[in-house]
Amino acid sequence: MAPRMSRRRFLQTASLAAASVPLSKVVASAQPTLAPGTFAAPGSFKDTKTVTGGVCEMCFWRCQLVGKVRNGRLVKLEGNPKSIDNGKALCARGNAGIKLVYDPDRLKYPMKNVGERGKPVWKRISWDEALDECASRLDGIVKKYGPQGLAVWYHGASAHYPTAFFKFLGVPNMCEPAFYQCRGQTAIAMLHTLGFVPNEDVDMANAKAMLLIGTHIGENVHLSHVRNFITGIERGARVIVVDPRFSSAAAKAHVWVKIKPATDTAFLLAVMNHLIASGRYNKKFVEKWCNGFEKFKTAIGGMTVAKAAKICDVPESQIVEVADILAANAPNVAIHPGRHATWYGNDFQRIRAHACLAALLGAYEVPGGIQKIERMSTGHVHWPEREFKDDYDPEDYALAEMEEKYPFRPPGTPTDMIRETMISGKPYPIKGMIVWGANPIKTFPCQEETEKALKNMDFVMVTDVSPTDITMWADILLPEACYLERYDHIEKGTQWDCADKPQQFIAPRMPLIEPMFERKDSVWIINGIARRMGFEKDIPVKTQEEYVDHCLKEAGLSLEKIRQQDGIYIRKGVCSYCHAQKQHSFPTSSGKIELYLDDLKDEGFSPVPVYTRVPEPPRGYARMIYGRSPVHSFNRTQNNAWLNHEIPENPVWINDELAARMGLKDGDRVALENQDGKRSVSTSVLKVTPGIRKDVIFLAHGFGTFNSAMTVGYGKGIDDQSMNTRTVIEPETGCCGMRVNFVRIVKDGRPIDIPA
Amino acid sequence: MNSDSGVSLGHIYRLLAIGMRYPDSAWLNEGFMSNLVALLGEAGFGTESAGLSSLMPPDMESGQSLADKVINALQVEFTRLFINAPAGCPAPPFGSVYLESCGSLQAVTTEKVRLYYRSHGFDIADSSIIPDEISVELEFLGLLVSKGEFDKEGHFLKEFFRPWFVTFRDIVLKEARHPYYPALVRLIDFFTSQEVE
Repeated sequence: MAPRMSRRRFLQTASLAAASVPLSKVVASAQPTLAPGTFAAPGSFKDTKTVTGGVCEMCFWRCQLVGKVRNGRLVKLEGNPKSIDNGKALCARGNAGIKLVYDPDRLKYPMKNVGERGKPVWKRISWDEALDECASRLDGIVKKYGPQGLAVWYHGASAHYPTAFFKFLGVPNMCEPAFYQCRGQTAIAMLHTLGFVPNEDVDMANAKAMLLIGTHIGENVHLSHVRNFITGIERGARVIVVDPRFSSAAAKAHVWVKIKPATDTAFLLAVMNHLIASGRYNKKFVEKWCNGFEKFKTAIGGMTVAKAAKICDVPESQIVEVADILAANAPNVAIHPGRHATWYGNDFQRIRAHACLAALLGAYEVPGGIQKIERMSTGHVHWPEREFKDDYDPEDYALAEMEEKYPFRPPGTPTDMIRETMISGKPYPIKGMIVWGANPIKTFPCQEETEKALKNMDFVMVTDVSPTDITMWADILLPEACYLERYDHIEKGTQWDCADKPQQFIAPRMPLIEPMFERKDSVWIINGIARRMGFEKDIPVKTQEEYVDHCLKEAGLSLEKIRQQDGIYIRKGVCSYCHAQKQHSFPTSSGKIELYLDDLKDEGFSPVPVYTRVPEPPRGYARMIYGRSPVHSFNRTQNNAWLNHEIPENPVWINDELAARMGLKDGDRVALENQDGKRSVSTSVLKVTPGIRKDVIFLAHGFGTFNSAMTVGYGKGIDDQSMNTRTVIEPETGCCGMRVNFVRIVKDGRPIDIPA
Repeated sequence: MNSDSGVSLGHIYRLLAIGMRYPDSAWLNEGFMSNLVALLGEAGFGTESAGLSSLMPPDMESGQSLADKVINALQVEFTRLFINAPAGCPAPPFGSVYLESCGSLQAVTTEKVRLYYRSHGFDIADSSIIPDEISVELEFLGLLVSKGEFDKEGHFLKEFFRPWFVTFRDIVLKEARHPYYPALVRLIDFFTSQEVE
């Protein structure tokens, strides 16, 4: 209803006689938000200062950065000019970090779900109330079910302190789903084969040839990684890309092997077999540094070029060509192990094959090869050792140990085992789930199972920066300061080009700005819970700053010292090319690269890499494979306004001839439907291209956010994970295969079969 | 307008500012509500006044559980409208969200508001406070009029407050599920619109 009078008239006549308390008294009692300040002359906008010490976390490459800060407001991010890793550069995501900080959708205050899990109704609560409730609910579960009644899914640097606390509590099952379902099995396969985990330390910049299987550099944008790749190409390296799809890397390749998906191991075995049969492997290196060559040679002898060509659906001549290029350029060849390689549930053996091929070529710790990079070491913060009641030992309740499964698993309990126990209550009940920085809804297959598991909990506590999909299942939701607002991770590395003067650096993450609203860091939150659970005296550090300083002490450094060095401490390093010669061994039990691994045989697995067939697509469907979008880090950047503006959805790639037969054209809006009849909630745009095989459909992973509280990313593109209603658990590692589902296209609500 | 009005405009602005804070028993009590109801009534918003009046327990002190119920309902509503909610909180109470093309917090317009405060002798009391949050802007308006600086009040309203408040008001009127916030934004509109027009 419109008012009957003007403000002027109102103020002349109003008395508020009806009010029980004088207005002046009411307003005087509230704390003011403004205070007397000093006069700031016009032109203050120029007072922008550079704050050093930032370490990016828009992805996990962790480039070092600086912030331009004006009046406490972050106005720009740039690469730290002192960095010997990313230098002055930042990628699109790094630059867009500023839009994460100031995203209005971010979590701001602790909240309680007064609705139901999955359909939350939020109520802001105080930190005291939130921590009281978390502590009492966690404590209640421990008292009723024992510490094994809790489990943790976590991700990111800020989870280190919380997971250490939950370990102290005696929680036996913790998992980093985004590591398990990414490069977890790659790391473990490499560890058992080489004795160390090279990660992505492959010297592409100085390689004479590169072989990329399962890596999409260019779509997977890690700055120094991409620079390494591009520099290698500039310096004349021959590039071989094995991929069912014409990826960004394939566009730069001399040889694109348009391989049938799920047959990569057969391809690698045939290349190795051909190299051995033709005597063009590095005999000297193999003799000196490899274990079990003869048994290996015999075991892979059956995978001829002709056989592999049929399996892989590629010409025999191309397999030979690849082998020839590698042999001609050995040992200076980069055999890249890739990232996010949990595809078919048999990937451990494929990664072993990568490592064995590099060994046959002698491509270790030489220019172009896989490197064992020596980084500076830092310390850890530990909670004290603890005596549990009734001789409780967490190890006795670690699910994988109890069931004697997955002997080559990455650290922690396989994600799926935790989920299964949450649902079944067997072998004992798990009734409390702590999720810290992870988004398991998007990270691993069979979402309905994850939701069922979460609904079965007595208590779910989630800590995150943004209202990601998993937050919808929280009872208590805690807002964390983001990577630009907190201390935590200590980045350690070397100069990006192995051929340059050896240097090592340390860059601890320092805040560029203060957190807004009531966002807190993990040490503050966990200490609050620990105190309320009666562990005040056990708290190892009081602040994140103290945490980082404690870790730096081992390197003889401190935050103060590194601040004086503009956020990055640099010292003389060690030439990685000289490691093998210096150490005269690989840190495996044999002291050599394990072409033949007895440990695998002992556990009932093939001791040499082996190709296993996987089910073919049913009639009318194609295999769904996934990859990356160059401006996104899967789901975590989907709500970023700048990045979403650039790439708002994930095009569905389909072969052009196939599309023509199906009556589809480039730009059509489509959904997907999988072999179990599960249809994607949202749609995306069809990309019709000759650059993909006819038996696969490709889309970038991480799109199609479910939580409508993420107003920018919500419902944009198709969530490939929602199509994964089936998975294959790798028996060696417990990691979930994510390329084992099949889809067909849905247009205008009508499913269209993929022609044979 | 002069500063000798029967009811101080400075106090009214401050009441409106407090009313846009997160509901809390520290301020959401009988004294506050009775003033708000009276203001609504005297400004001609009879329906809204009656609506809020009927929500209040007759005696907030003795009807504590009822008061808690009202506060609890308002807390849920405040969280949904202004903090985080499925489908996104519909009305983030920050100017820059409406004034910047891609809806950021702490944007250039936020900085201009803070500079304006500083050029008039004020600053945010604590770095966690967002300068262009509605309650902060209302409090600043109250400080200006308390100093008799009505020209500056008009300038601030025209340049900074009204350009986004109008959209904010419309969203709250459309999206609110509790009568409190529509009543409050109508009253804010009443006290901030006419001096600009």
